[in-house]
Amino acid sequence: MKLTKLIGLLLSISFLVVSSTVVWGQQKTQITVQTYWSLEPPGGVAWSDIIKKYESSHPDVEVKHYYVPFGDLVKKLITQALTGDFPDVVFADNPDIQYLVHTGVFKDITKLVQEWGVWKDYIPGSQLTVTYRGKIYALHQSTNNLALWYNKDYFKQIGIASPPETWDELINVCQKLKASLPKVYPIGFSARNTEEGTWQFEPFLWSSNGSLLALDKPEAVRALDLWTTLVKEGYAPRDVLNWGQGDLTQYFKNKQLAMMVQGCWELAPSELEDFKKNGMVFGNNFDVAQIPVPKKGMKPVVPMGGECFTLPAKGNPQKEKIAWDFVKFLNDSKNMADFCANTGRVPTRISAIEPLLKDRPDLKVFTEQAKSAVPRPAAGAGEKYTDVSTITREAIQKALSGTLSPKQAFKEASEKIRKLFSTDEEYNKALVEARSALSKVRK
Amino acid sequence: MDRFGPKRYGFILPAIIFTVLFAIYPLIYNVVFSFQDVTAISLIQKTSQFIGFKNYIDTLNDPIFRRTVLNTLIFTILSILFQFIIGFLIALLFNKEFPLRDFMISLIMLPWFIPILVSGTVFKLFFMDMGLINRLLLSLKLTQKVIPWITSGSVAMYSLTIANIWLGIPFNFILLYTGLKGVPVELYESAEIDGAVGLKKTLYITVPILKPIIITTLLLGAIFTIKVFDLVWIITGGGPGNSSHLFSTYSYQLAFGNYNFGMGATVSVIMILIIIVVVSILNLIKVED
Amino acid sequence: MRQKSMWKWTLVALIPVSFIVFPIYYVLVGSMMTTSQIFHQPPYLIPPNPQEIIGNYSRSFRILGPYFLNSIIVTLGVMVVILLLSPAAAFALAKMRLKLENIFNFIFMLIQMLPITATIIPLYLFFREFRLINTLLGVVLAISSFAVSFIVIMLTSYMRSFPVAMIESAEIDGASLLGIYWKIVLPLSMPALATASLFAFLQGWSNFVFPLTLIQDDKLYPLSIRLFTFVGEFGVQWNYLMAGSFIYSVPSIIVILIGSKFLISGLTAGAFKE
Repeated sequence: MKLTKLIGLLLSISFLVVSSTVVWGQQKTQITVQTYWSLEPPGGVAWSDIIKKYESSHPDVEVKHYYVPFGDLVKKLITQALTGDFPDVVFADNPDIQYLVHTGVFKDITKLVQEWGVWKDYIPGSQLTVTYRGKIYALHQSTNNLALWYNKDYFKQIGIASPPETWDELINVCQKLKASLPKVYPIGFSARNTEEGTWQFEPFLWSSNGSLLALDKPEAVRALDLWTTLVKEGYAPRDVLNWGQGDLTQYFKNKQLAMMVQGCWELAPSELEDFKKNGMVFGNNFDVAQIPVPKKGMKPVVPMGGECFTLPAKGNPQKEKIAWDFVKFLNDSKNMADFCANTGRVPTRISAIEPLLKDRPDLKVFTEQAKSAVPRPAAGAGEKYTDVSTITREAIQKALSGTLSPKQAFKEASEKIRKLFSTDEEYNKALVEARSALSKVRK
Repeated sequence: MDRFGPKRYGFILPAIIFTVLFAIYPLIYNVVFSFQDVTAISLIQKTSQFIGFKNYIDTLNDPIFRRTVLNTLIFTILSILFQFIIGFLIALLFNKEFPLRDFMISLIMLPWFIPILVSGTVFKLFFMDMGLINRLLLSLKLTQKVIPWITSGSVAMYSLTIANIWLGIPFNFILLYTGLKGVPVELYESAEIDGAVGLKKTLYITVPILKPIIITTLLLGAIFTIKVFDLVWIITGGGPGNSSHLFSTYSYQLAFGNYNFGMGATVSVIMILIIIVVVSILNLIKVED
Repeated sequence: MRQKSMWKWTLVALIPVSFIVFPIYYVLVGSMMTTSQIFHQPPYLIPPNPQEIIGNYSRSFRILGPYFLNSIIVTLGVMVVILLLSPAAAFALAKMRLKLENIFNFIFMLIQMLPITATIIPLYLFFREFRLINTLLGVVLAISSFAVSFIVIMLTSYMRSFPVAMIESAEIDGASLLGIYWKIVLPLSMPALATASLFAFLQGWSNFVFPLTLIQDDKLYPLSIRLFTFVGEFGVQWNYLMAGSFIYSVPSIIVILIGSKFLISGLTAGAFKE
C-alpha cells in the first residue's frame, strides 16, 4: 500500500516538473529579449508599451522578455556565451559592449547596419561605443547622463537661490544644509560596487581632468578626496557604499536627501507622477543642474550612458531575421524619440533629438550634456574597461569606508590597473587614447 | 545481513551514483580549472591553457585572499564560540519545565528556518548607517555617532559575525537541549545530596556527560560556519572594498564577478583543503575521547 | 504556588527569545509601514498606520503570486529525491557491512562539508549537455546534490542505534531485504525521516544560488530569486520588500511551528548522535 502511494506521489511530482518545462504550443513565432529593464509599472510602462506596439504591428510575433538585475546582466551573458544559449535579442549597458565583443558574445552586424543605411544619423559617441576594430556590433538605442538634482524647497529654507557650481560651493552648501536641517542628508550618490559606482564618480574625475588610467595623479586623487570629504563630514551617508541609483531616488523622494547625483531616466513621466504624489513637482520643488566642477569656468565632462541592442554571436538563424527587425524597430527614429520622451532619456540619433525636445523641453540639460558625453571604454582602455572599473570601485570603497586614504587607495588602484597591461607600450598607448578622448570633448 | 549478498549494494548505489554525478564530478572539474588559465574569454574562444601552479601563487600573493583568511578565522572562531555559549545558556534555561516552553522552543528555531534571503535582507536593513540599530542607539542616547556596521572595512566582518551568531543559535540550542534531556535526573539528585548546587552542579556533572554532544555540536558548527555564503553575499557582498569576504564569497566573485573561473576554482580548492584538514583534526580529537 | 514561580521562568526565557525573534518580528512590522516610516527617526517599532499592510501585501502578492508554484515544485522535488535516495543509503551504511563502506562514507562527508560555490560552474556546463538548463528539474537535482549527502550522514548515525535484534528476527522469519526496509527500518525512522523532510523542505524553499545561475526564464524563477530581483527592480522599496519577505517566510514559519516537535523527538532519539 505504502509503495503504491509513493509511486503515485512520484509520478505526480514528475508530471508537475515536466509540465513546467514544456514549451507551450506556439502558433506565433516567439523571440526572446533579455534586459535589466522592468516591465512593472510605473517605471516599466514605456518599455512594455513599445514591446506591445511591436507585437500589434507584427501579429505573428510574440516578444518574450526576461528581466535580469543590473549587476547580473553581464554575468548572465557570459554564462550564456559559454553554453551558446542566448536570447534572440541581446542587450547590454554601453560600457560593457567592448568587453562583450572581445569575449565573443555579439554578432558582427556591420552588413546589416549598412543595409539599413541610417548609420550616419547616430551621434559620434554612439558610433564609437558600438564599434570594435572597425566593425559594428550593436546599436545604441538611447543615451542618458548625470546631473545634480536638488531640492529647491530645502535650498529656499537655507536662503540659497541657485545650485552650487564649483566644488567649494558644493561643500559650502552641504555645510549650511547640515546645520539647518539635521534630519536630512545634504547629498547622496552611488558608490556601490557595481558599474553604478564608477559611473557616478566619473563626472567628478573627468571634470577634474583626471584619467582612469592614471589614478595616482593629483587631478584624480582630488576627486576621490571630494567624495571622501563628503562622507567623512557626514554630508553624504556612508550607506552610499551600498546604495544603487534607485535607492537615491527613493530617499530624495522621501525628502531625506537634499541633493543627489542622478540621471535623466528618473524624469520619466511615470516617475514624475510619483514625485508629485510626494509633493515634489519638477521645476517647482526640485530641479536639475550640471554637476559641480573643481574651479569656476571649467567644463563638466560626463560619461555617456544608455543601452544597446543587438544579435547574439550564436543565435537561432530562423529567429534572427525577426530579431533584427525588432532591433531596427527600437532604433527607428520616431520610436526612439517617443521612447525617450516616455522614459526621460536622450536619443542617439540626430534626427530624433528635435522631436524629443519638442515633447520634453525639460530634458535640455541632458541633451546638451549628451553632445559631449564620453563613452567610458574610450577613456578607460577599451575592452579592459570592465576590469578598470572594478579596480576603481574597489579603491573608492576603500577610501569611503576609511580603510585607506584617497591617495593610498588610488595609488594601489593605479598599480593594479597598470598590471592589466602586459607591456608598458600597451599601457602608454591606452593612456594616450584615454586622454585624447577626454580632451576632445573639452573643446 | 550478509546473506542478501550483492543486493545490499542496491540500497546505497543510487545515492552514491547521484552524488558522484552531480557533486564529485563537478568538484574534480574545479580542480582541473584551478590549474588552467580559465576566464570567460578563454572558455568561449576555447583558449584555456594549462598554467600549473600560477593561479595558486597569484592567490597566495593576493592581498584580498590574505584578508579573506583573516576574515574566515575571525568569523569562524567568534561565531562558533558565541553561538555555542548562547545556545548552551538558553538550553540550560529551558531545561526546566515552565509554561509555554515548547512554543518558545519553536520560536527559537525560527532563525534556522526563515529563508536566509529574508534574514540577510533584514540584517542589511538593521546595519545600514540609517538603519534600525543606529537609530535605536541614537534615540536611547547610547552613542553619539552613527556606527558604520557595514560601511567600514574594519567593522563589516564583525557585523556579519553577529548576524551569523544569530543564525547559529537554534542549531546549537537544539543539540545541547536534547543532550541535556538525556542526562538522567538521578545524577542531579545524587549530586545535590553530595552538596553540589547551582553552577557547580552544571559544570561538574552536566558538562562531562555532554562532552560527546558538545564536541559534535562544535564540529558541525565549524562545518556549517565555513560553508556560509548566502548571508555574507546578501548583507555586504564581500564589501566594502572587498574587506568582508569569506572563501566562498571571494571564489564566487572571482568566477562570476571578474569572470576568472580559474582563480575562483583555485580559491575553492584551497578552501576545501582547509576544510578537510580542520575537520580531520577535529575528528581526531573526538575519536581520542 | 508552584505555577506562579514557574511563570517567572517564562518571563526570563522571554528575554533571549525576544532578541532572537526580533528580526522576524521586524519583517512583519516593516511590511505594515511605508518606506519613509521604516526610516523614521526615532524608529517605529510598532506600525503607526497598520492599514498600509493592505497596499504592501496586495502589491507583493501580485508580483510574487505566480512564482509560488515554482518554489513548491522545487521543494517537493528535493524532498522526493532525498526520501528516495537517502534513507536507503543510510540503512546500507548503518547496518550492512559493505566492502567499500569507508569510501562511501567519505564521499558523503566530503560533499556535505562543501559550500555551494564549489560546483556551480561545472554543473551549469554539465546540465547544458543534458538539456537540464532552465528547468526546475535541473534545480532540484543541483540542490539535492548537496542535500542528499547531508541527510545520509544524519540518518546513518540515527539508524546505527537500531536494535539489530529486530532486524535479525525478521531475517529469520524470511523477510526480503526490501521488506525489512519497508516494514521495519522506515517505520522506526519516522521521527528522523520527519526531521530529514524538514531539512529537505528548507533547502528546496530557500536555496537561491542554484536557481539564480541555472534558470534563465524568469517565469520559472522560484520565490527566492523573484524576491531577490525585487530589490534591483524597484530601487529598494523596503515596505514591499518586507511584505514579500514575510509572505515568502510564512511556509517556513508554519513548518517549524508544526514540525519542531518532530525535530526534538527526532534528535532526542539520536538523529545527531555521532
